[in-house]
Parts: sequence; C-alpha cells; structure tokens
Amino acid sequence: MKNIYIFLGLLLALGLNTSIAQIKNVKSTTVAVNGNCGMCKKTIETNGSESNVSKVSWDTDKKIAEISFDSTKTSEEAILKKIALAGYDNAQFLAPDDVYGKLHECCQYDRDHQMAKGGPNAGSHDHMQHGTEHNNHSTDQAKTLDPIFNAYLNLKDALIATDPKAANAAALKLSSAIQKVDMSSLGEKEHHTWMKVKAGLEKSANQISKDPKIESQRNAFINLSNEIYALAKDANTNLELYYQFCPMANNNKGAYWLSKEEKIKNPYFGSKMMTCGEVKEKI
Amino acid sequence: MKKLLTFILLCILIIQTNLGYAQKVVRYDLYVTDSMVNYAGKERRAIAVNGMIPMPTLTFTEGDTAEIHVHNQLNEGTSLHWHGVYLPNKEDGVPFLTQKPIAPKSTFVYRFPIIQDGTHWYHSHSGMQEQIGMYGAMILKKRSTDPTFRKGIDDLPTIPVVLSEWTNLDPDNVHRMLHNANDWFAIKKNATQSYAEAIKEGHFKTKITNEWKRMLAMDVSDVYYDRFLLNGSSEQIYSQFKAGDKVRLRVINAGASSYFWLNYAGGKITVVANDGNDVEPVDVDRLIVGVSETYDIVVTIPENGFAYEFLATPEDRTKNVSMYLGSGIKQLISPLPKLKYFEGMKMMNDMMKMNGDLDDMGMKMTLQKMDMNTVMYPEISGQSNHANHANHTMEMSPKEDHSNHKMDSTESMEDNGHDNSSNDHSQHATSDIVTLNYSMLRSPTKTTLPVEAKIRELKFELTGNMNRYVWSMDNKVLAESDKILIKKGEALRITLFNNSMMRHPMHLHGHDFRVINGQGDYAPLKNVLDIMPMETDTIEFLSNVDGDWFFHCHILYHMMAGMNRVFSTENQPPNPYLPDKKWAYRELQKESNQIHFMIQNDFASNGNDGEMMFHNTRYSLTTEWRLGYHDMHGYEVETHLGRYIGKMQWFMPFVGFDYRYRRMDKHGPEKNLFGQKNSKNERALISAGLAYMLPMLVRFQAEVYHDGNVRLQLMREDIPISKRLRAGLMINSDMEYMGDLRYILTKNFGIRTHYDSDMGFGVGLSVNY
Repeated sequence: MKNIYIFLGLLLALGLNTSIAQIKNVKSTTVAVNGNCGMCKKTIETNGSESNVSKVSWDTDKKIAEISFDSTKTSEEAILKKIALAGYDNAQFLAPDDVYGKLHECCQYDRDHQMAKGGPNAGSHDHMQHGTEHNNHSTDQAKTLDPIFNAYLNLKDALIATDPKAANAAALKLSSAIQKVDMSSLGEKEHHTWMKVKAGLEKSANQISKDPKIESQRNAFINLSNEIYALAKDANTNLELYYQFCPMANNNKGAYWLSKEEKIKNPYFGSKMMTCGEVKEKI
Repeated sequence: MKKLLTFILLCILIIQTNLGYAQKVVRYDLYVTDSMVNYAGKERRAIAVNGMIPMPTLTFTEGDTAEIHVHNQLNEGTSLHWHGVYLPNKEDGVPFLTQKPIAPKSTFVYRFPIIQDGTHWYHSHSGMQEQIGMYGAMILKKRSTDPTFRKGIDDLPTIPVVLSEWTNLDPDNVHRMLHNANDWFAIKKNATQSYAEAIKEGHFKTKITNEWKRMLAMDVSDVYYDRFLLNGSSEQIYSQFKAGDKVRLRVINAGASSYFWLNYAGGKITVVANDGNDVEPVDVDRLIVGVSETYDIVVTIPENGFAYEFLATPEDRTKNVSMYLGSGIKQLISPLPKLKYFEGMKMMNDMMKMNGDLDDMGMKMTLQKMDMNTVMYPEISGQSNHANHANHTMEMSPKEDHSNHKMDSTESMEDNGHDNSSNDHSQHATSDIVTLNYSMLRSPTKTTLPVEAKIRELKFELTGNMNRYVWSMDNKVLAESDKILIKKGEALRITLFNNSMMRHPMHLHGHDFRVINGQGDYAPLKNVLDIMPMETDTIEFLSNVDGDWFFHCHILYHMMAGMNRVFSTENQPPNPYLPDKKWAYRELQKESNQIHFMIQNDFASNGNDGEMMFHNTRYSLTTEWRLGYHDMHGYEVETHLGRYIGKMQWFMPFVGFDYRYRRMDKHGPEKNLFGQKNSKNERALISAGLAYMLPMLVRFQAEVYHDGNVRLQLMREDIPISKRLRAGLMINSDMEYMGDLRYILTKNFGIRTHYDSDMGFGVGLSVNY
C-alpha cells in the first residue's frame, strides 16, 4: 500500500515537473509584426508559440512581438515564417496574399505592400474589396453603388467556390454595404431604382448571411441577382458587368447572375457544372 | 575560278580543323565514399561524392567529350547512369545490363561524346544508393552558334535546382516494410484513413465500400520522408537578382519516390524545356515534376526589395522546401493545403471494379490532362466542409461531368495550339490555377521520325498490387520476362495503359521518345513519361543505337519490385564490359524479385502469439505459432508454403504442416463443425488448402489434413479503427475464435489485448519487424 503512495507521489512529481518545464537555451528578441486587434493577437501568438519550444507575445498597440525560443530547436526566422503564413506581415516575411485576404475583416491591417502584379493570386477579390472600402471615403459620385456590386460579386465567387461560410461573410459585407449607401449622392434615376430594390436586397443578403446551407443560399441568390440586375441597369458605374444565364439552375427553370468576366463560371453549381451558362447581356 | 574554288576548299578545311580542336575532353574525377550525415536529427549512413550530397554538378557543352573517372571507395559495388543522355550502350551505367558493378576500391572510366544539350542528371543505378545521396545535376550547354539557340532564354542566368528527399530509415528496410504492408508510413503522414477518421468526416460509407472492394488505404506516395532537400538543404537564397531579372531554373527531380509541385510567389512560371528538350514557352501557375523528370522554367523578379519564394512541395504535402529569389523581405506563397484523403478514396471506389481492374468510365484519360487527384486538392476543389459533404465538388457521377471531359480530351487531341488545351484543367477547377499538363508541351522543331523507318507497335499494361507491393508490366515482373528484341532502325510505337492505382514515371534509357499529345509534327521529346492511374498514353521513338536499354518505372521502390523491361537490339556487337550477358541478365532479374522477411510476436500474459513470413513476388512461406505457458493451453505451429495466383493475388493454394501439443484430459476430445473428432494430445499433420481474399479484406482459408479432417477459417486482421488502433477477428470450423485489439506505439512496438478460445484473455507487448 505504501508503495502505491510512493508511486503516486512520483507520478505527481513527474507531472509537476512537466508543467513547470520551460523553454531551454532561451534566446529572446523583439520584432515588428503587423496586425490590428485582439483577434490578431491570438492568431499571432498561437501560430508562433509551441510548448517548450517558443513563446510569442504580441503588443496590440505597439505592433511588436516579443519572441523567446529554444535556439537548439527553432529559429527566429522559422517562427516569423509561421506568423506570416498565418497572415501577418513582419520584419522578415510578407504573408501570402490569399491568406491575408482570408483574415477576419477586423484583422485586415493596412498593408504597405502587396504582392507583385501577375502573381498567382494577384487581383484576388479580397484585395479589390479592400481597395473599394478605401474608395468609399472618396467623394467620387459615380462610384456610390460600386461597393454593392463588388460585395455582390464576392458573394457570387463564394458560391462558385461552393464555400457556404465565405458566402455568409460576403453576404454580411453586402448587408453592411447596403446600409452605408449615401442616398444623397445618388443620381435621380439610380436613386429611384435603389428605393425599389433596397428592401429586396436587404432581405436576400440577410438570408444568405445566416444560412449555413449552400443550396438555400443559391436559391436566395436567384432573387438577389434579379434585384442587382435591375439596379445595375440604371446605376452610374464604371464597372463592366455581364448578365449571364444558366438554363439548368433553379430546377431547370433557369437563373441569372452578374459577373465581371465574360467567361462563364456558374455560381449555382460550382465545379459540378462550372461552365454551364451563357452571356445574355453586357451592361 | 579555280582559285576561288581552292580558296573555298581551304576555308572549309580550316573551319573543320578548328571544329576538331574545339572538341575538347572534359574530365571529372568522382570519389564515391561512405559518410555519416545528420539531415533529420539522427546520424545516418549516406554516400557522398567528392564530399558532397547531391553529387557535384557536371557541366559540358555540346561537342565536348565527357570523361568521368569514378573512384569507388565504398565497400560495395556501384555504378553511374547518365539520365537522359544519348550515349553508347556500354556507357549507360546499369549494372548487370551494360556493365559489371564498379568493384569496391576500384576505378572505372565512363567516356562518351556529348551530342545533345539540355538539363539532365546522373545517379547510381545500384540498389538503393540513389536514395542515400548518389544523385546530381548534369548540365549540357547549348553552343551559342546553335541554330536552335533562343535569345532571352538560353542566355539567361541559370540555377540548377536538385530536389530530393531523405529518410532516417535504411532504404532497404523501407522497401521491406512496403512489401509487408506496414502502415507505419501512413501513421507518420497522418494518412491512416481509419474508420474513426472516416466517420468524423462523414465518409463511413466510403470506407466500407473501399474495404468491400478489397483496397487498403491509398496515398499519393508510398514512403514517409523525414526531410526534403533542395540542392541538399531546406532553404536557399539567391539575392543577386534585381527587379525585372529573369532566371532560368533547371529543376531536376532526383527524389527516389516523391513527385514535387512547384509554385512561385512572384508570378507565372514559364516552362521552356522538359527532360532536356526545348519546348515552346508556356506560362503556368504551377506544375508537378515527376520522379526523375527535369523541367527548365523561367521566373521573373517583379520588384526590388523583396525575395520571392519558390516553393517545392512533395505530392503528399507533408513538408516543403523553398528557395528565395531577390533580396529583401521575403514574400511567401501559400503552402499547399493538406490532401482530402477520403475524397480520393471515394474517387478510387468509383473507378475500381470488383475484380480489381480500373475503369475510366469512357473518359479516355491521357497526358495528365484530367488529374483525378484534383478531388483531394482543397486549393482547387474547396476546403472540406463537414456540414456540407453532400455538395462535394467534382462529383464523380458519370452523367454530367464525364461526358464533358470526354469531349474535352478528344477535342484537344485534334487541335494543335496549346492555348486551347490549357483550358482543360480550369474546366473542372473552381479557381483559375493553370496547371501544366503534357498536352501543353510543344517542341519548337519538328520531331517526326524518318518516314522510311518501319513502325512496330507494342502495348504495355502497367499493373500493380498495393497490398503486397508488387509492381509489374502486363502482370509480369522483370524476373518473369525475357528481353524484348527490337531491330536497330525500326521505330517503336508504345501504348501504355496504367491499370494500377499509383502513377508511374516510366523512363527509357539512351533515347528520347515523342509523346503523342496532339501537337502533330511538333510532339515534344521526353525520356520520362508520368502516367496517372487509368491513363493511356502513346510514345514513339527510333531505335538508333545498339545495345540493351532499360525501360522502367523510376520510382526506386517500384523498380526494385520488378516494374522493368529491357529493349535489346538484335545482333548487337558484344559489350567488352559484360562478356557474359546471359548470366548478367539473370543477376538483374534476381535483383527485382527479392525475398522479404517479416516477423511479429505478441508477448502476452496468456502465451506467445506470432508469425514469421518470407515472401517474394509469387511465393510465400509463413509460420504461425500460438505457444501457451503450460500444457493445458498447448503449443501450436502452422507452416504454409503458397503461391499467389492472378494479378490481384487474392487467391493462394498452399501446402502446410501443422504440429500441435495439447493435453486433452481436462476438456475431453475436440469436435469440429463437421463432427470430426480429435482426441490426441499430440498431432503432426500435413495439409493442403487454399486461401482467398474476400470483400472487406476477409481471408477465407480451407484446409484438408492428411487424417481427413477439414478446417475452414475466416480471418480479418488489421482493421483500422483509429489512427493507431487495429482490430482483428478470426473464427474457424474447429470452433475456435479469436479477437484482438492492438495499439501501435512505434514502428516496431505495440500493445495488444486479445481473447482466444483456447488460451483465454491476454494482454501483452506486440513486437514486429
């Protein structure tokens, strides 16, 4: 019996030992890491830290990370690479654009440099959207409704990718873009149409933003596309849009959507029938 | 007039002698030595040449004569094969085919004229030496006066990029483990694809169907590697480049069994040559380099102040290696996301017929154009989503997709421009990622064979058996096939159909072949053809050099398993390095039909339970034992010698010998299902029987003993419950039954608990080798 106590004691001691165990051969350094908020802090720290190997603590205000690590097991470079691959530019590495683009909206810190043009992910929609949000502040009247179209196009891309979560997020952005439209800067004709379609747009966008299922998201998208089409016909925009139609969508009743490209990419089927459809009209 | 003529003749004479002088001999001395390396945390044996891994880059210019002195300082034979190089057969470097192995502590000189240009490489063709360091780049430069010299491509700065992999295990052991269907590599790769994982991902039915069709979990590659290497390291930086600079990377896949994806953070990749032969430049986002293929690619540095990542990822995506071009802050590219194994399993289920043949459902798959693995790539088919698996992208129902694909491939077979065929991929891709495939390769010059050459057609079916790791052509390994006689001067047109579940990079020695890819007279020249499961490809070449030329899968472990053939020209002149060719060929055949050994034993509380096996391609000798600790439990040994029949090797007739000692006084005589009795304490019996693998991988065994007793048995071993948990069940007509659970701790150890009708409940340590 005594033996058991000794055994348990040993176990306890071992357990304590491991919990106390710390990073050995410590090397510490501070590095600039981009980011915005508390959510960024969590992502940066969990991606850079590894038990008994490295520890990262990031200062939300100063945008500086304190890094301590076991120099026999890892390096500053390896840790910073992991942080960059989680989406955060730092002193040594720039995050891949697509990873940055997938960060939560509030985490999309201002980047002083984006990846080169012509890169495999260059011109990805996330970026353009980032761009248009900036444009929002400009007073250029012609573009008042562009955020709506861009948000719609992002939603369409999410449906093409058959990614219901991305569709939720994109629809949420569309809802907020709808709220942000400054009606005083709208032209007369587009103002008129806007008043007609606004309620329908809001309803469909809300529906898609809350719906976890791709099928019903796509159903709601049919209506949304019709409203957007009506709006696009009368809107004052520089965007070139293609009005496209797939006869097989909506249980073979057919459905429309808008795209910036002439090439067909079907949001109602995704990769199952990616190229099903035709251009009906260029707006 | 006469004067002029003499002047011209004189000029010609001078030029010719000049050329004669320009033909210089370039000599390299290579010292092959054993060495210890630490690539992945452990000191391991490797082979270094001149102290280097990879071996030094050999550079020649077309017109040179290569003279390579190989000083073998190993304690074993070696050889060097010049991969993709046109040369006399005796210089080809295949032991027991074109020469004897270079004996330990001796020197051998390879000498041959360089009559081509391009990115090639060299490696040992002896045993597993290629896996442990014997690979290196061989760059044959184009003369600047060459009419095919391409300004803006052939004058760019070049970097050789030699890709390879490293395992801490002895490669012979790796080979043995593969043959024993050891799933340790799958555990290391997190690719066990067990029932628990299947249920979690909503793929229970997929897993059941898979086992119903008698398949073990599949992966895109067979071996787990501890590290991947780019020019011998994990990371390289070339900071000398400025904005706008173009760099030509000579990428060589010197891996023994890994394909590599290439991606670049600075934009498009322009492919300019393949297997050492120029192709019309084509822009892609990424490409896969098959084992032993070479690709010359051009990338651009977009801006100053940044170092752009060039990423090479092995096909199983377990790790990656990178290279940075430019100086400054490093611009990364997204690593390739983990494979969706169950999607791959589902796809394989659809393609696999019950008899083990693959069925391409009339898709006419060819030239890498329709990569079925795409279903496993999240970057193309979307991230896997548990709530949403009803909507899987790239549904495999033949109604909609397949008819489309069929049209695609036939269309692009007919059109000649590579612009059109490049669309094939994006056809079923959500994203706009352009992936290179063979139909996009086009030679800048005509590659047609001489019209007078008589065409001979040959067909090969690539066959394989994953469960036993047997790889063959037309279901025959090299040990079961003679040399294929061909005539010098004839053209061979070879149609290959891959009826196995893995892709194979088929390599032809000493020749380039045309890949019939819809580019007509401009079909590209290659010496390695990657052929994916279910694909059919046609290649053709002119037999123009005498000798014995190896044609084999370049995955080292497939080659060693016997996926080889030899093309031999009739009436060839004798090879001074190999006077006795008949003996040599038998030696070569032996090498590809090795005997593999396996043993396992469970040291349990109620006895010892184990088995031992020697097996090669067709035969197996197994001994199973159950040894109790006292006479009541008894001692039992069963030995079987069997031969595997058929391509899938599901059927095995065998003869056996059983010995058993057990005291019956306590529980009386035993009676089997058929009323046959056994009352002896000791019995020794000869038997004959057959085993057959049933769906769900259940092994049915029927055995008749010389005393007339009959035994029928059903057994299923190694049911993958979770990543590391395996279960087994057995029941037979002697009213014996057994059930076990085993948790795999390491490569060689596990904890096992079982219940046996003879010996009762037991717990123990299971040891296997």
